[in-house]
Amino acid sequence: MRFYALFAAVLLLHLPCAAQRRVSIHGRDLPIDIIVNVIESQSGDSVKVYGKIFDDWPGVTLDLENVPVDVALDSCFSGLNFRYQIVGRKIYVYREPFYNSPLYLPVRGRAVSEGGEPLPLAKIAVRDHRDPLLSDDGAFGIPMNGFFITVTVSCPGYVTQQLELTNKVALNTVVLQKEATSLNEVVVEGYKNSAKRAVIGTPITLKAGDILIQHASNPLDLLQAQVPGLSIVRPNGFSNGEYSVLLRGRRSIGAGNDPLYVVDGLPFPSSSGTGIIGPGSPVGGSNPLNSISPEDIAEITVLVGPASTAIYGSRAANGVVLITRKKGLSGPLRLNADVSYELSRAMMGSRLLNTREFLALRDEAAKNDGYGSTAVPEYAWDTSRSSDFRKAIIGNPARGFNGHIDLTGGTSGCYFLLSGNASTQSTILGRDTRDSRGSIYGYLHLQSPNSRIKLAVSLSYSAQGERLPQEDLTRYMFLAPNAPLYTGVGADRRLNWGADSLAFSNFIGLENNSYELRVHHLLGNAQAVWQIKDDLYIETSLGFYRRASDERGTTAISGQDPSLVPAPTGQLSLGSAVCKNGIGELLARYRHEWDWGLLETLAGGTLQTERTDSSSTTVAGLTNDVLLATGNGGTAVYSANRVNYVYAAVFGQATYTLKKKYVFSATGRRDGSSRWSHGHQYGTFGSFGASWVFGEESFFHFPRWVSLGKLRASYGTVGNDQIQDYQYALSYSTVSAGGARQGFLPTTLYNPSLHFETYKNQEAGLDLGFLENRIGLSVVAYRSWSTSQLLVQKLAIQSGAPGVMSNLPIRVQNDGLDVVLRASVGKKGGLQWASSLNLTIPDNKLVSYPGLAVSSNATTYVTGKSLSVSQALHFVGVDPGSGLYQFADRNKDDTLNYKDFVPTKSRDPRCYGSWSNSISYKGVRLDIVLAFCWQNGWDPLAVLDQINYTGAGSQVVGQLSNGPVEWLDRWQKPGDRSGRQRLTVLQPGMPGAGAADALLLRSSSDVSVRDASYARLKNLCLSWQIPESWLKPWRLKGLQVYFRAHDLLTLTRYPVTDPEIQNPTVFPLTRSWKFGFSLTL
Amino acid sequence: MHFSFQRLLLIAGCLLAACNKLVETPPPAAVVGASKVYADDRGAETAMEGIYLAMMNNMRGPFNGNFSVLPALSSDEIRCNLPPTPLNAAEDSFYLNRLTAGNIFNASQYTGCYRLIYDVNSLLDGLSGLNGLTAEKDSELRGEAELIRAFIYFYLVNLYGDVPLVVSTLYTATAVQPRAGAAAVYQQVVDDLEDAQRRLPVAYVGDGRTRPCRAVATALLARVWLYRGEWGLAAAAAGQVIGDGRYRLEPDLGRVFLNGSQEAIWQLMPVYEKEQPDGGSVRVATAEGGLLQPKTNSAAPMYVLQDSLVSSFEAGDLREGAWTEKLVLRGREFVYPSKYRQTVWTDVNPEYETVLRLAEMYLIRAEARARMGDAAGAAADLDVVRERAGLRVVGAGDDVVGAVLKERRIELFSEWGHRWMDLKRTGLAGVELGGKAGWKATDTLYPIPASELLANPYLTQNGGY
Repeated sequence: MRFYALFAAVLLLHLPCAAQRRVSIHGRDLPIDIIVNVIESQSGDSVKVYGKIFDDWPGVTLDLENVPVDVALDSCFSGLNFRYQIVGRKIYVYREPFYNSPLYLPVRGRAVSEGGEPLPLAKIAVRDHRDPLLSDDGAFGIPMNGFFITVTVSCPGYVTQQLELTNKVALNTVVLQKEATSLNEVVVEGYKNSAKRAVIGTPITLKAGDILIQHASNPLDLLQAQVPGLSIVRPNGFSNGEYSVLLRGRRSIGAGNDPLYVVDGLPFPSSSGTGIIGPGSPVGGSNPLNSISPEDIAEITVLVGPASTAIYGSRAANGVVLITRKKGLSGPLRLNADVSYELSRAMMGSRLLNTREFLALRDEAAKNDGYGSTAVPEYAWDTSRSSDFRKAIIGNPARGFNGHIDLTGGTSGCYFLLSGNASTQSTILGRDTRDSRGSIYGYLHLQSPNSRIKLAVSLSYSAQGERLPQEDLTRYMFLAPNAPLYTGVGADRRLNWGADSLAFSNFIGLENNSYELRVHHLLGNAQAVWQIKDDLYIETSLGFYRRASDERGTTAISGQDPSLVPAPTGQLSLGSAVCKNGIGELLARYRHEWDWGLLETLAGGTLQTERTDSSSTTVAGLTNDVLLATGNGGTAVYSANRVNYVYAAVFGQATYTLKKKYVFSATGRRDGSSRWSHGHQYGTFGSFGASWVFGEESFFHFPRWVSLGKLRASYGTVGNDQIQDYQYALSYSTVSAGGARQGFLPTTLYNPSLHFETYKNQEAGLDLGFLENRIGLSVVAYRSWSTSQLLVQKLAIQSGAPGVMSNLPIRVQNDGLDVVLRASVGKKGGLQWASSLNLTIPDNKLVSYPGLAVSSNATTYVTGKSLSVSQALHFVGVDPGSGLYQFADRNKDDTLNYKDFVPTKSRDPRCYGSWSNSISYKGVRLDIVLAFCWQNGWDPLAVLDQINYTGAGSQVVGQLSNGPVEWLDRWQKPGDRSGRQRLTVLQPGMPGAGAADALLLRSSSDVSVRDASYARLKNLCLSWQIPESWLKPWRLKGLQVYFRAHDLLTLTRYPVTDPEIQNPTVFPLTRSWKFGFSLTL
Repeated sequence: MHFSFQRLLLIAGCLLAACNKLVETPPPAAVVGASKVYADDRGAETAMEGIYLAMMNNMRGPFNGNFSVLPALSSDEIRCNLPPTPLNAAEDSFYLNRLTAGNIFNASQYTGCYRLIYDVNSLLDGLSGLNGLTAEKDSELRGEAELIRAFIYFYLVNLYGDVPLVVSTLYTATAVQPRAGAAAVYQQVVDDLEDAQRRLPVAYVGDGRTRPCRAVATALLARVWLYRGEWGLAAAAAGQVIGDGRYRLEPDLGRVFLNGSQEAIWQLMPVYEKEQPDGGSVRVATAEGGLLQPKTNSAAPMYVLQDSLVSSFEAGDLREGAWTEKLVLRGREFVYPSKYRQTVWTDVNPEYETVLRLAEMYLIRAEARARMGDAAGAAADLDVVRERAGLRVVGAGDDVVGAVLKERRIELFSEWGHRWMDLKRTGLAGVELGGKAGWKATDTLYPIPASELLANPYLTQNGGY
């Protein structure tokens, strides 16, 4: 009886335990419940009886004195078809036929991360069996060789779980908790995946599980405040806007500072290619990463530091963001669907003045300047009217729907993923503003039976449509609160644009000027891996990318102030741009392990070509707004352009790991870019680094609670070529004027010696793990110098132009400290808590700028300070006597000019980061992300002053006259102490307009930079995984309902508006709530 | 390392380095590579056209209005009638002779000249290098470019004195060039004009008299010789143009500045299209028309004639009626120049910016003859101009030179800075303008813009700034 032998083996394992507990039973025809009672009371074990075994219990006679429990049980059941199993202090008793049938039926299950992502590297081991079972993309089947077994599920980077399985319970999912830190975790680096043990650089990875708790419309949204060293600032609240992304500080003064985005191994453009048409986009461009749906992302890795980025050479100057999309799973077909509804509201900022307050200020301003109330033209309007234009313009609720569906399955040799997304959203501007997106993505994986050849093909298409007013209307909320938007009543009612001193831009009219954008992205990629020998692989990757954008802007007759143009006509602007990008890559990998170490090398080459065709048509002179649809009858002006870019590189990397403790790595890359002329096209970049797992050295005697210790350091160079094409050669541009006369003129001065900006980076890191890696600490100190800065060098105009693009020997230094502290505490099946704190302390410094004093940047930058430090007058305060702003006349020459300038405060963050917490219990999970930033920023009141310089007293009522309640605090009479000076109705430069002049000076003085620190509850996500047993009748595999809130709460002392955007006149950030559910079939 | 990873990298690197072509691209379509521009006559012609557009495609560039208005303010011709805003103050300081090195109008004038010189030098570079032009076109365009360069330097040297003499596009060298002596600049002007005389065709090509022919070079040379005091050469050159046969004084003073004027030797076509807020554009006429004519009938003109000029017109001078205009607003009388009357482009009889005209040639020869002692000949030339103005002939008097200079003031007022430059070249500036409040002898030269002194440490400033 083969099984019995096995079973005996299992029993033997328990023997020492059971043998220690002894029982004595005496009696005849004992019923089973008596036996159970006796054993339980004497041994302290608990006995569980399965099945209706009491029905035909024959009664046994026992005479046992002080025998081990198992002997007692053997005697009890001998000759009967009952069996038992002792596990720990539990004894299971069951009828044999019950246990026979499912004997070899495997229990199937799946190991997933906390976020529900399958773990393909998971291993499952039956306790004390030698060969662990490898899972197939997280799924496994375990042959049951006992009624009860203990299995161990482990995965690199995750806390190992032990499970006790009975064959009655199907093992569905095993949720593994991530270790706070681990050397075994697999990390994606450029061109390779490595165990964290061998990583020298600082890759930071966000996995799908962490991603999906967030509410995001763009992959960059996901990264905000999540990655140390990465600063992402939204310049406005449009969901489709451009982001200002800086990885480890601003390094280039004149060229781009964008990181390199790599999607599934292909470089992805960071510029939008929009803004071709005259009016431009109110958003300021459209981020191309919008075409990637967050639901399709498997993980995002941010590479910083020389060891990780050097493999990307000249384009990695500002770091690399690797986005890897999901690849599907083998196994039975699985269908996931997710539907959500979203509501957003503007973060409103300060209340604006009402008519009473507004007119009181205007009155006071007029009186201050010696005028009567008649100098305040707004009195001509109904003074009892008070409109809240802030509410009217940005107070609308924005609603959106989002749907996602994906299907995956297949065999291990051939599996696929198909996914589709659709979303539509209105904006807080209300009316018919809209942002709609749709995308489909497919992935197919094929491999030969011997796994030597693998092929992966992916294709995605996305379409995005956007409809907005032609300009950001937010600033029009500062219109005087009693301004009448309409004149006349009934049929005579028409838009009012005011007249003369009461002229204003009517935002209701401006809404008629529309901007529409459609963008189509097509991204295709084929990757093949051929394992030639056991240790040699050849890989090739071919990709293409096509982006087509169409813009359409209309300027309607009804959207123009009739007082500005006597007989306005309509204008239609059309623009289109098609960017085609092709890339081919060939790569060889060699990996060999000797007794004394492991060598991993790779060598490859890349060729990339990009062509952008753009054209625009402007049709002017349309005499009727209906004609805006077709442009018929107007005069059209057409222009077109084509830009080519070619990039080629060869690269290689070798990593050697000795005794699993010492790692050495060197990387080299030679890059060529078409942005440079003959002889300067190529640049050589490289890095080297080493790491040492000192925690595993036997000569160190660390306390037991220190579980990991690793030191790493690296040095390398990278380059930057983010300037306009073709600046190295003489080119002529066409000019046309005088009817149809055409001419050529030299475009700019050209510089044949342009070459890559070069950055030198160095970093050192320390990784520590405590308490079996439940707590992990990683500290990285970095420093980089950027030289050969691509910047316009000022020239005397006698040379033909005021300057020429050059590589200047300017040195910019960025230092910083990145700290990540992670902890995870949990008990299986119970409460689990994971927390992560990341913190960046950056420092940016312009080390040297030869000729700064005579350059055009003389008052823009200060040597020895951050690039965000400029020079300005020093603000002293408000003179209590005169009520005027005072500035320091530092050279005591009785005039205030640039000679009195002092450096302003830096607007770089002093420290920023986030604190994330994830708490889960059973199926309920709560995620909270707190972001914080300690920084200085623009004073919003100075920003308002600059646009609307006479404050609450502009003589001409422009669009921006009203202000926030902060305006009420002001100097009113001699002796008053206030931060804001006396009001005026005069314009700067007018006789006697000392107050207006002072206001304008203040708005550009050093006080225009103020504290803008904040802490923000960035994400709050509550989800509930409905228990599987509830779903069984519905044949569902999983159902989750969730609630996610975004930017819910901000703690700050920053006045008027949001401290991130720092400008009260632009489209604000929104606070949003999302409800949804996702189900799995 | 037995696996030759390094060797592989090395080989691949060498291969790539060897084929630089791999990462070469054609220029963006919106720009044209220099080799394409000079591949044939047509391309080079278009580059020449670009220079004319650069001169005129603006509201008021140096060659489109400013060389007429700003020196006229500095001398005794016109004054600002503008409200005192900071921008207007910058312009008013020309009238007050209180220029500073930071003056933006002065800077834009200086900047405009050197930008254009770069465009011209760039064209000359293109013609010098390998190109696909026919020999005739090559020579013709070269002459045209040289003429324009000479014309620009003529103004630079007259307004600023010593100036950097840039005849190359090598900005690394030219950006730090110091100022050249006025004599050297004049030598370049003469060399360029004499070469242009040899190269330019006899007949005008293209639209009207906008593209210089040989006579234009001769006429400009006549002016240069006059300024240099080479009376014989000046008289001969002016005589050559007068005797050309194609030119005659327009009997109708209202037609002098029109396209098709028989008097015109060189004219420039207004090309600027001003954008309107609704997206459309309006093509404007000459900058003089736009600047000197009042915007509407009820608005005061921006510039009015100085009283001394108004009172200098002799009784019965037809030019006073034809070339000046009176406007009475709320009891105040404004007299302003009205040689150019159109503010908006018209297809019928458009006004062209008239650079050189026959009347000046008569006056040049008259002065040259007078200076050489030929009083009768001088008077004869002077009287040709006076006759057309409906004035009595003067005949050979005692001070023929003085009479010619007086006639130049009236005939050429508010045109191309003639009066300002005449006063300077004859040394009369101090005499005639000394009465202006705060006049200093150093005011005869405009300052080198302050930004240029910062950008080029080898530049020096004119005295008095």
